[in-house]
Amino acid sequence: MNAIELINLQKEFKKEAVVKNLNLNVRKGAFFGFLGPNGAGKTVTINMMVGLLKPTSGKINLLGFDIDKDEIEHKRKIGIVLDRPLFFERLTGKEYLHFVGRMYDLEKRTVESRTEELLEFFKLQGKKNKFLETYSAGMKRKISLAATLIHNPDLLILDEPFESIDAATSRLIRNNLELMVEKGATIFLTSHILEIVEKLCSEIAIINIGELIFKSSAEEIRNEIIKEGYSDLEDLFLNLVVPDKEKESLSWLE
Amino acid sequence: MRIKKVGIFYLREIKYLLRDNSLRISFLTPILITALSLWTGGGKRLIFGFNIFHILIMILLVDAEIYTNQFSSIKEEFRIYLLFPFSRLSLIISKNLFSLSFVLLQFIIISSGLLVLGLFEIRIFVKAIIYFVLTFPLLMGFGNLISIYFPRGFIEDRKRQPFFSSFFLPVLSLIISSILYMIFSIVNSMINNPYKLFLIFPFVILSLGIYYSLLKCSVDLVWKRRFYILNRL
Repeated sequence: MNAIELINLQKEFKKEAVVKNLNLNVRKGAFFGFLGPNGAGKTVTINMMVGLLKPTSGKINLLGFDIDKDEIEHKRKIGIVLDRPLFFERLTGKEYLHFVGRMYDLEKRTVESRTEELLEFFKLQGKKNKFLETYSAGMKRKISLAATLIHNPDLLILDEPFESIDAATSRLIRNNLELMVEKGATIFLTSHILEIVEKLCSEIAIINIGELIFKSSAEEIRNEIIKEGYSDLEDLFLNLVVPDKEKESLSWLE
Repeated sequence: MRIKKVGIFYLREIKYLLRDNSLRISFLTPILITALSLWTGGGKRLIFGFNIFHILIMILLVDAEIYTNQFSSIKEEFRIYLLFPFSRLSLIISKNLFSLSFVLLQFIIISSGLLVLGLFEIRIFVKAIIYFVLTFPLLMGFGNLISIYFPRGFIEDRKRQPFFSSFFLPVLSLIISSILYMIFSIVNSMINNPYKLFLIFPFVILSLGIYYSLLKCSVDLVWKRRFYILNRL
């Protein structure tokens, strides 16, 4: 069964298509990497998937729910990190996690213990009683991830989750994401750090100028890299998305 | 609707009241105007012929910013609600409860101050409460619809779009004032006659009935118009 189904998904801004007839299935239990250069349509696709942007046409099913018809049930099972985290900035880190946990119907005691554990895990204990507006970009990203994990979702949609995160925490997060997938969760991840994607993802799709240009399993990609003589995923990615005649250096530096 | 969730949400709103500068200013404005009026009146009377009704009307007009803009009293809040499994009915009820507490608390602070100073009688206070019970459900009901059709968001990083720049403000003020005046006339015609006072109850039921119908309508509309609201905020 598929955790995510995007069917003929199209998004136009002022009649210009930024996502073009996208068809994509992500099976349950997959660690799915969704790649593309800046402006390819990744974030627009994610914003449509989480219900913050209206598709021009097409359909989105998450965990078997049509998101246009089901308003609440699918949200109970999903965790979302957006590229620009959204918070109530005048809540403290602890209050925010508490609020989120309660919104997902967790018991008060569970919320309290998970909040403490998450704050410790993300090394935010020292800042837990400060307003979120005083947090640095990295700390905001961490609290956003913590809020995503508190209800142990079945599907995680992560848009650039490792941006501004330090190396040590990044490794811890990666380990825990892998643990979640092992336990049956599905992760849909976008990242510009291809090394991480290559290490984590079991399936990868590449979108460019709104169109899906590549989709394959990690194993097939590894075979492709060997067969075509690429050095790694980055090499393959660049070959797919960078035009041949692209300017490689500035004239005054040549 | 989950009452527990409404409670959690409502408490978060109250925390914001204590922490958000613009909300604090909105909260204090009517109290300060009354205090200023008292001060210029030598502390023994309110100047400009103010009475408790005028104060109540002032509170309702000043707070129109809160109850006619339910979904963006806090930056990005509507986007956040859409990400959570939170029903529309719970959302609107929580917001309405917050508006109700906001207005009622101002009114109670001002009227208890005036009662202590002996500036009006209990009888007038009862009259004002009846007036409030008749008026506020209607204002909240229409406020929900205005919040859906004319959402006003943030234009800069933190600042809210100025309320007075809204093109519909004259129309809005006219509608609110008409409702207030109409109900004021009804209350005034009945309050002096104890027998007629019982006739207030059908009006209270009517007011709550209209609020309920508008609430149901708003719950449907907020889903249908969610992308429009998101675009505007």
